[in-house]
Amino acid sequence: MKIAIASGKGGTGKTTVAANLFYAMKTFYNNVVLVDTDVEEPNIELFFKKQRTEETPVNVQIPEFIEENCTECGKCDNICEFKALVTIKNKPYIIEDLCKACGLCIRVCPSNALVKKDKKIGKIIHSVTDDNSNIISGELEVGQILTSTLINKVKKHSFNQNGKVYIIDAPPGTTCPAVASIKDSDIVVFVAEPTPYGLKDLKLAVKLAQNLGKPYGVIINKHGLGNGDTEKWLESENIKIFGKIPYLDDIALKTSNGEILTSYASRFVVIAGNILREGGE
Amino acid sequence: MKEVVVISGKGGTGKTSLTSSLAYYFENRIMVDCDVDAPDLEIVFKPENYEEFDFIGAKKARINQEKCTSCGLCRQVCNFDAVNLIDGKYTIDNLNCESCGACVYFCPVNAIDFEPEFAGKYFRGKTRFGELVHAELEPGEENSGKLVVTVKKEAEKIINQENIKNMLSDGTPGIGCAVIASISGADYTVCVTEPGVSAIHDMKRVLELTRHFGIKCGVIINKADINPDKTLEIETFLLKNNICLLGKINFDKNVINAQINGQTIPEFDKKSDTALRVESIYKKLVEELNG
Repeated sequence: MKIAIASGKGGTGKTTVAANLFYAMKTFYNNVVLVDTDVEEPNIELFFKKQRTEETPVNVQIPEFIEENCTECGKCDNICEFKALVTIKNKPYIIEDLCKACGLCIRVCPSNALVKKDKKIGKIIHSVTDDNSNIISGELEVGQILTSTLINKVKKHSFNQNGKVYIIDAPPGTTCPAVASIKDSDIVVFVAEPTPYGLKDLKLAVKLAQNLGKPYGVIINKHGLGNGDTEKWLESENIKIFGKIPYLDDIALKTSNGEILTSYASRFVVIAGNILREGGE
Repeated sequence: MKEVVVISGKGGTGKTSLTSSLAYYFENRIMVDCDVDAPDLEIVFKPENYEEFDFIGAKKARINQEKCTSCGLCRQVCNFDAVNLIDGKYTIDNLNCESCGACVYFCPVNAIDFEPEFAGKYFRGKTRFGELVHAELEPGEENSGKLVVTVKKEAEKIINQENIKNMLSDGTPGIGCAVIASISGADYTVCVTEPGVSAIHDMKRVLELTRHFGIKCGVIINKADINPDKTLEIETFLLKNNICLLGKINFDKNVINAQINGQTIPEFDKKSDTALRVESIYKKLVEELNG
């Protein structure tokens, strides 16, 4: 079962929830795998002690121009949808930062003047914790834009781990990185904070889950801050609430130190049970 | 004209509350919400006299089943696993498609349509602080970077027409294409962080990004009293790396109460500790902009 932890607004507590649910889930199943697909800002690693860590670079293949092979046939002219290849006097110039590595120009070139070249877009970090659990994160190289490509590679690597349950820490928002992270999950858990900004962004996120046809529910984090509008809205829409986590100075401090909330473990076990039940386990 | 963009790396550090409150102190300004998948500035600014525009996103490939001969070439040339084969029928998986057009180019019978589609809306409206340009991407759409560029272009039109001196933008979390689009061309970026392991890690990546693009960045430590040790860690890091600390703000429930009232922090209580700190951050920011 793949459980995506997502949110509309950033900073509602996705990573905190994912890290603590990971422990709670282990009371139900042995092989729980934690996956961080927030590759622009991966943080889940910071919450765990590891016995070993292995890093694998993730490359894509972008074009390299071999001038001596170019016959100036003009076939690559205007072909790049991303404007990463411009032709001047029938010869191509490549703007690597805009290239999405689709390979079209390379396929089109009849004379091997455009050939494949590796470019690193990020890495996969695979850690094994003290208690032999697998934690896999993706980390985007600073300045790179192929977020979804990297997320897809992280998922491919992760889903080979024979997990009974996968907990996926998704990036915030409702655009391509969020979609790439949640599209093959069995259930989406939105972490919401009960503030006006939080509610507005939650509504957008819920719309995304509906568009994708995913079962979903909500955890209200920082409960007690803000106002009651979020709960009222969830009730009026008949949206499942998996649980509530209070706003407490103690929780804020522990989380800011990258600590697991051991004194609230039972609360997370209840939430984990609610999610499993909703997901049909 | 000076362009300031507020970013953070980690979400939820207080970008939007600080952008709107800094806007209170700036004069002759325009506000831009570059956070197109979670646009919240309008909650505080309540723009009126809306103008609304459609945002046309990337081209979308669609296989015309009547023309398709099921040769499978489209699936072979797709680098994004976006062509599905189900029961002998080829279809495009929109969620994987990156709109590169490779399948369209190679289809031998021209069976793939490739037209740009509606992907969201953008708006301009008048607020008590001047104009606000913001947008809303349809949930699930890609091309947030392109929408950010569109929104900034719309703002530039207003800036030129009305001779506006300051542009203040609320950015998105992360360091990806929407953030890169938000900060490109900016005079200064403000990174709002908080004293926690995640936010510090993310701030460092943001600072690497702004350095990569050669844009100056100053830092605000929000909720500084939640973890004084981590606040000290950030201050030491900034000092060592010669990065400007614009100021520190303590955790204050009135920041959320202001949000609930649809107000900026100084409008809620101009003499509060938080408001006074924001004011001094504003002054430091102006010094930095002119320095």
